[in-house]
Amino acid sequence: MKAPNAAPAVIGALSGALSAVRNRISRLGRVHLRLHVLTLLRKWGGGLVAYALLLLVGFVYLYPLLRMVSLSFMDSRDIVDPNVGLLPTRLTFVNYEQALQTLNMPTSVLNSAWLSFLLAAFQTLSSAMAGYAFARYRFRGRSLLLFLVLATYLVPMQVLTIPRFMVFSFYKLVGSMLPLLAVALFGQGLSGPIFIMIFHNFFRMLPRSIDEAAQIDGASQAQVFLRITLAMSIPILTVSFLFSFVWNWNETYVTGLVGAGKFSTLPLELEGFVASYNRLYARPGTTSSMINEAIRMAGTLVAVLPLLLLYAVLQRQFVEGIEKTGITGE
Amino acid sequence: MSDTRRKRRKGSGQRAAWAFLAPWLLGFVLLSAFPFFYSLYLSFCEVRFTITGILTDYVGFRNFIRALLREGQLDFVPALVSFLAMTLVYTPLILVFSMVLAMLLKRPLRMKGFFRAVFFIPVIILSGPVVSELSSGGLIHLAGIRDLVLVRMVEAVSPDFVKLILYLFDNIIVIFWYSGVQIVIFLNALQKIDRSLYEASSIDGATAWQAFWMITLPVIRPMTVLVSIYTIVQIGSFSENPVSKIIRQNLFAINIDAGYGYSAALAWIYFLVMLALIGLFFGVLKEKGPDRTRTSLAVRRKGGGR
Repeated sequence: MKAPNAAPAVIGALSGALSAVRNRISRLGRVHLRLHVLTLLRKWGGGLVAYALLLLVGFVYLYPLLRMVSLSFMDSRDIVDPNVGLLPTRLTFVNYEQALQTLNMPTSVLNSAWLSFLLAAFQTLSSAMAGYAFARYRFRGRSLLLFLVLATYLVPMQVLTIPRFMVFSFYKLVGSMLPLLAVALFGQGLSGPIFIMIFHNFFRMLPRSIDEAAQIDGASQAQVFLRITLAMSIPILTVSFLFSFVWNWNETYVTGLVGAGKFSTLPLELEGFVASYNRLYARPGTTSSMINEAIRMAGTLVAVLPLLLLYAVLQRQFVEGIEKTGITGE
Repeated sequence: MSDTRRKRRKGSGQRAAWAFLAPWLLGFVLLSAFPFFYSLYLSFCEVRFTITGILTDYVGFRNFIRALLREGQLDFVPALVSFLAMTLVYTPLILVFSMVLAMLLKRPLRMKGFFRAVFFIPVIILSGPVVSELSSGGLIHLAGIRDLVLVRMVEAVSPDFVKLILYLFDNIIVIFWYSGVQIVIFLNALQKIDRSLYEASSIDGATAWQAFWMITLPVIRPMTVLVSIYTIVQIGSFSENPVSKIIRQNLFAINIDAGYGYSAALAWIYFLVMLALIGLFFGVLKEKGPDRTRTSLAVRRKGGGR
């Protein structure tokens, strides 16, 4: 019985509100309101579309990794069961046990870590020195050499690797890390020109007045470089080191050639994963001992996990690092 | 007095410059310049290993003829063609995709840092073996859309169009994964654009679409050249690249005709193809005429003022 009585009150209130709004509209002017709505729509509508797109793309980015994680915990029945989607019915860790064995685990990850660490340190040092020379000094042939730095970036490593490899094998250096270290120490490492240009751009932006003050106080050129320039460049040194570390870690073409089976890194072990697995576990005539997707994905996850952990800790340095490099120009 | 001192300081500066440059220069001469020309020389040779050392016999263009017209037709030429096609398709898509994502990320968004971090993950973990393992499990291919009803319907009308769409979806994750560094480069370039330019243009009545063509694109245009070169080199140096694999295989080939000389010829053909690709993208993307940025802005201002 109450509803009919309440209705007029509601209608009254609504019409009151409406007329208030109408008054407001007429006060502000119709055009103004339309503009207001439009800008709101543009602001929020655009934002919503942006979020939707970013979420979609982000999902596509991460999908292979999610699928890898989910597969790596599945047993052989879950893999072939079409009803099992992303979530395994039972978690199994056998895949990981076998994957760790197959990847020759503690040894390979330590090899990778050591090698990448040394390569990154050497490459950062030599690139910083070269970048410093280009940024701070005017000498004869400077622009020619700067051009040559950029030109080496365009030469694919396949062209250079063949003669380098011949020389290395002639001096019986294949199978040791020495050739790789020498290449990095002499500034010819992976993506070397990028690092030299990063340092060149960065050192150019540093004020010279501090160097000059130190020189008047009697510091040598080497002291200025080591004590002042490098000390002011810790962020850029970190960026260079991190990228060099990660890129060298992931490099398998030259590393595999030079390693020649004598030493192996984690990505190289992953490259030979199927063969290693068959050597370790496969028994002829049985299908249950055959390698499956789940084991391979467990291996892949183990292989990228150190890098993902590194990234989780140093994510800011990686992403914001590129900003500091000045690679995008002034 | 002061003149001689300045001269001496300049002289010591020169010496210091060469001292800082020495490691790189030594490495460049011995490990880059010499191998560069030596591999060119090797590509015209047959290389044999003997007890006394390495013997090289000049054989003219035989290695190149073998690579392009004879045995290479079975493996090298198809690999080269697929590399060429891949680069020609991937590079523009990566450019557009990373530009679009950079523009999305430029807006003031919540969780911007999270998205940026996600899009950068592939840069950290991308390596030949990882991609080949993931692809062996079909994880980086979205071929599933083949079964969608809509796709089936379109296929009935125009199979070629569907083929193109399927190729894109098959490769979309790889294309996304190759774009990590490019997104950040574009994002930084976009963030350097003065906001007042956009405000001025909107006051003058320009739509967002016009602002993109008149302000955003001219400013980030130099970046597109840089990004496309980076992309081509990235694709070219990827170790899962079919051409790379063939060059490596031939390095250790046992038959007498292959080996270092033949490998060097393959590597040089590959290098020239890559240079041609870079030249192509450079020619298309480079700024035409002097200082396009300023003229287009000036034109825009004039048009708005009228």
